[in-house]
Amino acid sequence: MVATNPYLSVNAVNLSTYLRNVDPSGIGEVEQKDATVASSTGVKRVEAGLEGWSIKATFKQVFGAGYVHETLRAAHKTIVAIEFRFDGAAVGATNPKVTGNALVLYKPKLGQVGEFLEAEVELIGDGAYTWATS
Amino acid sequence: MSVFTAGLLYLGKYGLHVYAQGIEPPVEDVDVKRYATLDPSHAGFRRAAAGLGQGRASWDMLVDFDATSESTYKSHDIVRAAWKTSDVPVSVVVGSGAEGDPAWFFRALTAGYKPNGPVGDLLAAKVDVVSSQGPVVYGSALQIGTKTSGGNGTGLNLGAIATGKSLHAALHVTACAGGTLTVTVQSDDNAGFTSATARASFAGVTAAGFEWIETAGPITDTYWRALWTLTGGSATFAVCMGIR
Repeated sequence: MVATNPYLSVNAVNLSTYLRNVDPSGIGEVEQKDATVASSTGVKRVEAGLEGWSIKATFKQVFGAGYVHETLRAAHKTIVAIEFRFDGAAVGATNPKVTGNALVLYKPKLGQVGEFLEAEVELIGDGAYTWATS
Repeated sequence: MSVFTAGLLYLGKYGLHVYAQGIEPPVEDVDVKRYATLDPSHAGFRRAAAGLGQGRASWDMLVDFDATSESTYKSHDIVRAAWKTSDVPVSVVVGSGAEGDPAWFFRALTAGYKPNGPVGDLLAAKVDVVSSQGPVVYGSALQIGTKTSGGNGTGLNLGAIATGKSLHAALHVTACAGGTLTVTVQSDDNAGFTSATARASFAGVTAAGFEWIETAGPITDTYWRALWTLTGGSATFAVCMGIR
């Protein structure tokens, strides 16, 4: 499956239309705890510790109420609801969604004159996230 | 998608947009605290909280010197004058400075000036500023331009100010001669400003300068505009406001 139409909503505002790139690789990070004990096997043993999760995204910049800048500006440094899907189609068995609450870090980008205006956001998970198919 | 074709950059009482080639806007870097508690509702997961924020901005600009006149500042002199000085307002406006154009502004320490000039190239420099107090404010340009008489903006619906939030307003006067300029930020509960209230009153100025005002909420009015008076001559200024 090629990701052509990912979905990301921040604080219940669907910003997918402006998504340039989304990096969900921070979902599913777990601390590995060394649980090695004396054993004749001669190998280490690890167990899963606490999970942390994050999503990074880049948007084309759009100003005005309900658009990228206003949504992220208002949510900056606060914890809001997040929903991510690999595809914008309806949630289902072949299109699961990730939901949770995350701390929003907004990083607007102007850059050089003549380049596109962009906006970056880093969403740092606060507590549990959920994979769901409905 | 919008291409960045025009913007305004102010450092204290100077406009640097005629020199700036690109800007990293005032971003607030946040020290994220990850933590975990015994709370069963978050069992197995780390939580997150926002720690201290630090605003920063940087821009690439053409370097120009003026060795002959103290009063005709060029980019080198402007940055050197602000060098190592705290609490100088920096404002970045996207667009040509129309009322309502997005603006980022904060009070800054000019902490980096790195000229670079390989033989054969335009002399350029990278300037770094960091917030010296207060937040980075994501707001709007209220009024930017040269005036020869008093007036007011048409007004913007920027929303009310909740308890715990404040109105932040930055004034950059890049030129003022022949009279006294007084700028006020007003609010009202209607777009016609029939019952306007002054919320940030900048001191009258007779020369170039800058000022920053914070007014604590709550303020229930949702419409905001700039009003200015000028007793004579002409003045060029930029005033931005935001709620944070």
